[in-house]
Amino acid sequence: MLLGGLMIAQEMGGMAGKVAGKGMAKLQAMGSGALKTGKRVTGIERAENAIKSYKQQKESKRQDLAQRDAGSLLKAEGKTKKAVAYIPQKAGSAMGNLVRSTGVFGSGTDKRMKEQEAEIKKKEQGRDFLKENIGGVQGDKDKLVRLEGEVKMVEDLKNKTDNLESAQTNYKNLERDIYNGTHSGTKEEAEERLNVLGQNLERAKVAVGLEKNATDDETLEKITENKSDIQEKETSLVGDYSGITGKNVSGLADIKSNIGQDITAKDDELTSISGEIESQEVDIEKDYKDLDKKRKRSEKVNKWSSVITGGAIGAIIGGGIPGALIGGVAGGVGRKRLKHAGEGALDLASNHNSSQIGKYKDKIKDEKDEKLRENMNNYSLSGHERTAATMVLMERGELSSGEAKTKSDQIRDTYKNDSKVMSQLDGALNNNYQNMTQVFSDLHSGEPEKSAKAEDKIVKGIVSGTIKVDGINDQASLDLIMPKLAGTITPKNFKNIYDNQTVEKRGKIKSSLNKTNSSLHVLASIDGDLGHFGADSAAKTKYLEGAGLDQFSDLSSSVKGLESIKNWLNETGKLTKIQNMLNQGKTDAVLKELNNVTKNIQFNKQNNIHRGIVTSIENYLKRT
Amino acid sequence: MENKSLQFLQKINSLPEEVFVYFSSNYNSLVCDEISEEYKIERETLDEIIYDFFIANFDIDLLSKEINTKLKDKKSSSNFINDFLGKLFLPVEPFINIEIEKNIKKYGGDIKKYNKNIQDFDSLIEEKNLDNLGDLLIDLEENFDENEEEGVVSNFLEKNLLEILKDDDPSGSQRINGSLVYLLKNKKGSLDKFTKAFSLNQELIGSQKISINNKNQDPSVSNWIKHFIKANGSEMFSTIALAKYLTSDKEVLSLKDDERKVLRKIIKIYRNLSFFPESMEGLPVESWEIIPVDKDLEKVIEKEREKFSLSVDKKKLAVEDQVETKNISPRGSKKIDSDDSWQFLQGMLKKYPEKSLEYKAIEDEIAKMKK
Repeated sequence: MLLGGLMIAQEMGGMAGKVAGKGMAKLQAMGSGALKTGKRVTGIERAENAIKSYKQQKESKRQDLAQRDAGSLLKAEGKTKKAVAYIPQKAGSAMGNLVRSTGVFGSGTDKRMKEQEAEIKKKEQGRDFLKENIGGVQGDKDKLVRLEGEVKMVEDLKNKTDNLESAQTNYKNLERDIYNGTHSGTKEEAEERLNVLGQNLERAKVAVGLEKNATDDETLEKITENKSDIQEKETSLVGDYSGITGKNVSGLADIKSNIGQDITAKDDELTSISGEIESQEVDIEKDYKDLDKKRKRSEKVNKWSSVITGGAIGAIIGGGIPGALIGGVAGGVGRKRLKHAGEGALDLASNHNSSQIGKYKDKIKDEKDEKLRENMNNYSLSGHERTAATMVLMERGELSSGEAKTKSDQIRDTYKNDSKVMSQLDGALNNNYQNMTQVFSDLHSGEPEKSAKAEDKIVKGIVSGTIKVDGINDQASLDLIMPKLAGTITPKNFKNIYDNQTVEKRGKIKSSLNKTNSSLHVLASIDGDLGHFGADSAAKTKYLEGAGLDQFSDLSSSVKGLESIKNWLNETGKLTKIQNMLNQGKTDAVLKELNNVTKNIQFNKQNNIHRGIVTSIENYLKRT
Repeated sequence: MENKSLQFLQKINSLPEEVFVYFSSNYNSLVCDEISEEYKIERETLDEIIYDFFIANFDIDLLSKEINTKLKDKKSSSNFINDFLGKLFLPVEPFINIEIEKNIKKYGGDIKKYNKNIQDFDSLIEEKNLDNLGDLLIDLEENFDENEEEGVVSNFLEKNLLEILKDDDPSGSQRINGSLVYLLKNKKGSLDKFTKAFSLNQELIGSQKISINNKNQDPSVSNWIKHFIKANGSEMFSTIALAKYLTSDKEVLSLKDDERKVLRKIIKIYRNLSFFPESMEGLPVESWEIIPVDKDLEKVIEKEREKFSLSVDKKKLAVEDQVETKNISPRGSKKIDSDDSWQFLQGMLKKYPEKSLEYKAIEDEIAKMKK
């Protein structure tokens, strides 16, 4: 087999033989030129060199050399394949870059990722600053604790010195009275008292580090020395204390009365900073995850750019729309709209037939049966138009069994390789000619394996858009399909599908959702009510952990939803605690409690919707 | 704010999703902080004003009264109303039924001041759409079968190509191109399969037999390519050579106009596939296409023309596909005589965002007119 685009030359014969060499050369030349990026592997370099060399030859030798190069490349099959594959790969990469730079997917995307990265860096700096800051606060607290100890020691020394001074004075006064005979009571009694005072004085001396028989002079000197030390220490402690706390105090007594509270305040500050660091860590981690998600998203968009950039882009990304078109408001400025396109909107060849049939079905859905019959048999129309008319008639049950059989056989024959059209046909036949649909027959076959495969197939059809839920009307089918669909797509996407149904169909869908966990999640999302989980508080917690902002908004914008939140709090034993917090005005603590549960969303009151949700919950809990 | 938060949530949930997305964004929080700081108004009070404005169904008279009671600096109330409306509600104007722009002007505000807010809103929605697209692609990857897709594309190239080429609706060509380019990028050997499938195509263009090597053959796609190669050789060819073939070859001239148009596309597919990726050289990569696609601009112009009731010669505005644009030189009669047409296109230009495909296409047309 020849390489890539060279195949056709051989198929064509004759002059086309020339293409074999030349095509290869050009292919490689593009690889080394227009699409040149990154390093090449040796095999590719060799191929390139061979081709470069051959390109320099004269015209008469070109064909021979080309065949030689192609031949030698073919011999080294593995490497050759790699070399050829390499070029389109690089083309793909270049395409993605161009797509991004030309702004098809929003010129700001890469720029925003860079901005987000810079924001994260800023947050990290803030966190690092807090980490340094927490060291300072801890240091201050340690100093205060030490200071508290020193205050106690100085006070102790002061007490002991005062005690010594007082003991010595008492002893000396009585000694003088006895000597002068001016003492009270008998002399024996006075000498007995002096003996007691002497023992007190000895203990007071020992307490300050003197010998018990230290002389009066030594004692006096000690008292004077201690007083001086105490004064000096007090001045120093007042200075240190003011330095740490910034408060002006006059002496030890002031310090003593404040320092306990100061230490508690520092403890609170430490707790608060630690909490802030922790919260910032969570925030930074979340930002990195978000950025990572965006990078992966960008890579994915890059990879699939060819199926997005053609006709699909409007349906998937959307463009500006004149204001007047949506709101009936006269303002010329366009706005972008949110798009929830399905796989069917992508530019994939496999979507073509089903998309065209779908498009014509939409166009003719309100036509009368007669007109549809005319279209079904009008061979001047395209196959897609005729098939669309046939499918709409099938959905309406307007074909006889024989007609339906003939027409479905024709469609199957025409589109036999197109699984999406087959799903579409099955969807059209389901309501009125279920025995003619393989997949729906399998679904109701009663054979678990067959039925499970059919469920998969139908759910895949719904996800890709080839099977419409509004085309499945029988409860029995819904009962089998909806729980499977609930387990396949997110509750949010399920809700989008559900919201587009008629009231009657919504009722049927709800009753089809059984007690499986994913079904309950979907029900809670559809109704904005945790009550569907019954008394299973763990399931409710799990739901809240994964819920998005819109799900919280649904829960907190109805009394039923709010009541279900209150019940959950009661079941988890948190209700009284939170109500107490609210009564004490500790709304920050309530927010923290809430954020401890909600893993997917971290509420903050700077955000209007977040504040609305949190306040709505708080108000309800306070009121009841 | 007893009950107000509940009412606010109920109201915002009843509005288009875009409003919820905007008011739940960090960007919106920052704007609120900015307003709060500039007008020295507590953030909580500002939020209350926002809630009240939603609950009162965007009643600007009530807003004005409320601001007069809550704003300390009464002199700045007009500026506050303008910033409140311009920064917070102008971006979502098309989604809420209220004339924000008109009211900003009424209070003497300058709409241009809030262009950045609108751009930021668009960026926010763009990000959300990209998120949705990312989710969609994850689902797609899980279910995508490259072999099956390759089979579908090959089947189109071999058996069902003419219907796609004849269709005025370019979506078929775009879809097949999407898969073609993806598979050429990502799946080894797909080029071989596509070229082989295409070379085997037996669909007929015209009803008269064609002569190849003095033998009469069916006018199949396969035989027409052999016929072209016989006349022009098997090397890469220019669109001048193609144009010459289409306008002077005796057997080609016997085709009807629409058949000749299809044949032109077939020969281009032959070139795009056989000489891939050289055939795409010099083209912006996002414009790569194997099957030539008639751009939709003509339809857009048609629609706009109805609105403006201008008569512009349709033929003069017809847009060639970009592959052709690149290769046919000189382009020739693309100038438009009418000043009205020039102005019309200039007017249309203003209707589309600078980065939209429509804008680029119209800009191209204007550039062509200048030549």
